[in-house]
Amino acid sequence: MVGPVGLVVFGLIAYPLFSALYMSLTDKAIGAAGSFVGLGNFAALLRDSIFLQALRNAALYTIVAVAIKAVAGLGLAVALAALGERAAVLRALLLLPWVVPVSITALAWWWMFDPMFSVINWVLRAIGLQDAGIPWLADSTWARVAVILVNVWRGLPFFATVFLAGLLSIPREFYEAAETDGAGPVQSFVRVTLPLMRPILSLVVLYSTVMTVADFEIIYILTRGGPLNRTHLFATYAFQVGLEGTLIGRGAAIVLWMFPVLVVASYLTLRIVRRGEEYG
Amino acid sequence: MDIERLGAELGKKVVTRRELLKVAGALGGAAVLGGYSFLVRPARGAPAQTVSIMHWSHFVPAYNPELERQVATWAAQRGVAARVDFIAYRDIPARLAAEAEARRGHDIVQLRVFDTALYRRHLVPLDDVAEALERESGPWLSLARYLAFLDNRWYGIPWYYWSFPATINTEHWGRIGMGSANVAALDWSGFLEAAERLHRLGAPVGMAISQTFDANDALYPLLWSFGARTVDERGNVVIDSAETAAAVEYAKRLFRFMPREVLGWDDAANNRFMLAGAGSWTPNAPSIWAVAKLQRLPIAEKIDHVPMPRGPKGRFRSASTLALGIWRFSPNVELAKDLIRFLLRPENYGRQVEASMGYNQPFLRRLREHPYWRGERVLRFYEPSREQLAVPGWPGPAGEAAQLVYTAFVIPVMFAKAVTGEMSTAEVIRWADRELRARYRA
Repeated sequence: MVGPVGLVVFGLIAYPLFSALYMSLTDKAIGAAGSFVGLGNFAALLRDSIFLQALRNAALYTIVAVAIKAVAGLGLAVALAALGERAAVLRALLLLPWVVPVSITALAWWWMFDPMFSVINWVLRAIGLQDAGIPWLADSTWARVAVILVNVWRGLPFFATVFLAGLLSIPREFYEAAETDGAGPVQSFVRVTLPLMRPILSLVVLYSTVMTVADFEIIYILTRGGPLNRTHLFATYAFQVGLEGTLIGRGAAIVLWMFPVLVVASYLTLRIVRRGEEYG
Repeated sequence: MDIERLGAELGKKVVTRRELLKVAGALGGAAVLGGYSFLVRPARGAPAQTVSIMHWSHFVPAYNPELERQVATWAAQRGVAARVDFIAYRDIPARLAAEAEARRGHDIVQLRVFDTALYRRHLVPLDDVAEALERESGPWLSLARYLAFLDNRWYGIPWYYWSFPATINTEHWGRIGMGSANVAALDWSGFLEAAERLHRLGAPVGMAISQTFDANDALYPLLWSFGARTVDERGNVVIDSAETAAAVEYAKRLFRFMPREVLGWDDAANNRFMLAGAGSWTPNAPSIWAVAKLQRLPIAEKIDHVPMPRGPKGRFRSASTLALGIWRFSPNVELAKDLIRFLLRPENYGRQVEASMGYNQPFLRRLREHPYWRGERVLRFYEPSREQLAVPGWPGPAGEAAQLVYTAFVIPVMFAKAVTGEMSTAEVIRWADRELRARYRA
């Protein structure tokens, strides 16, 4: 059993990772061997204005999107828990954005943000909120809003569903005890729900951080990193440099700048999982 | 152990859990060790005499079946099998990269603008084919030599290109009293005045100033026509010039009369802009007209093509080009060469032109004599081109740096920073200078 598993782990995880690490230390272009350049690619990226922009974009995109998903996801989970069985259909519908392939949903959003045919702008105009329409993908601030919005829309169901499962697993007795001690709904939430939900909250936030910082499809389909490179993330810029530009060594180095974030997130996730905190 | 033997073994007896795990492990290991090279070798397992060709899924849908038909005809004549794989244009870079790395894949690949230069280490020199074709239908356009004749060898056979004149809505231009001939004669100064009037009428002109390939094809000709260049013939960065400043200043004035959305346009946005009847002018290949005609949209009657406006230093048009190359690892080099020659025979090429509704433009002088473009009035300014043809990156060396600048959209971003007021003209030029130097050094 160990043999096949080891082979799969080596082939699917270790080999690509070390291959990318090695490539990032070379000036390899696609189809050519490349020579060893040490940390030259990483140093060059620190002088690359588009990469530095992508670094800032990734931080903003990840922090804002994950924060919104966490807060809104928790709120949604609490509301669904309060509604109980009455929200069964809603719970099923909620999963739709998460289960439909991202390339399809991103294309649908792209159409909704279209400068001429945007249904969102049409609605805003119809209700008199906006005459000119919002330049969703033409303005760098609005483009950031748009890509974060799509990421939140897609990730929110996952947050809400996992949080809901966590909420439902908290023993009812804890709330009854809190009530007996005179706690109101807000106090119960702060003193009972949040502490008991902390492991699951941390786990989901860390998982989502990893997925969000490595996002590709939403950006690639909606903005290709524009306008003014303000929505480029590591993966989209790596694709541009490594595959379209054929400098695969430099492209690997761009992606590996994500590595520290991923390592820290993975370490913390594993710690939480190992600790195996249980209720009661 | 090969898969057939494994299958036979499995069929003979009851499989225990341990055996099943061994088989799964072996298959998993084989899949992993084979890696993605297994996935990118469509010809594996097929007869050695199957010639495969990779081609993008053409913008004009009628072209794809015609190409398939011609390849099938050739295969029947030679008694071999042949196949065309149509791939989305956006997926071509990844596909080429995977095949070059794995040293497996199609026999013939289509090579976009600088791909011939980028992949020349992996391509069979095709001097014999290029010279024979030149004798039959030449001479080659200078653009063909620039892109595919590298280090004194032909590494690709320039096949066709499509270029970016201006697509106009004649009805809108008619409202300001200008016919196609008047628009065709405009210089950038006259165009600016017309753009202002069209803007006031609610029928603006528009060109992408965004991170999309159409933006490169719209903005480089503007730059060139003012006498500016990104690099010289040796690859020295020369963007920091009075001519660039003049082009940027002009774009700032013109931007006031365009929809702000041009800053976020993708490659299809200007098509929708014209097909919806909203726009009066946009640089584009004739795909807008072709789609309108194929779908019998009334707007087709209003569309015409005219040259790009003339600048102080001439009139330029950008081109997107395709060449055919043969991988060195191909087991069918001679057959592949024969297929390329077949596809470039005048009679076959003519049918390709017709199927593409004139979209495909030839690199060989004699092939340009096809009557299709003269027969379709709307294409009279498309082929032959009145403007000087060039590709973004010209006149610098074809290769990695030009490709990096093209894919990083340095020039569109330079214009975008200027027209949005994020930087002054002098600042954006300095910014572009730094970006170009970084890539030409790399």
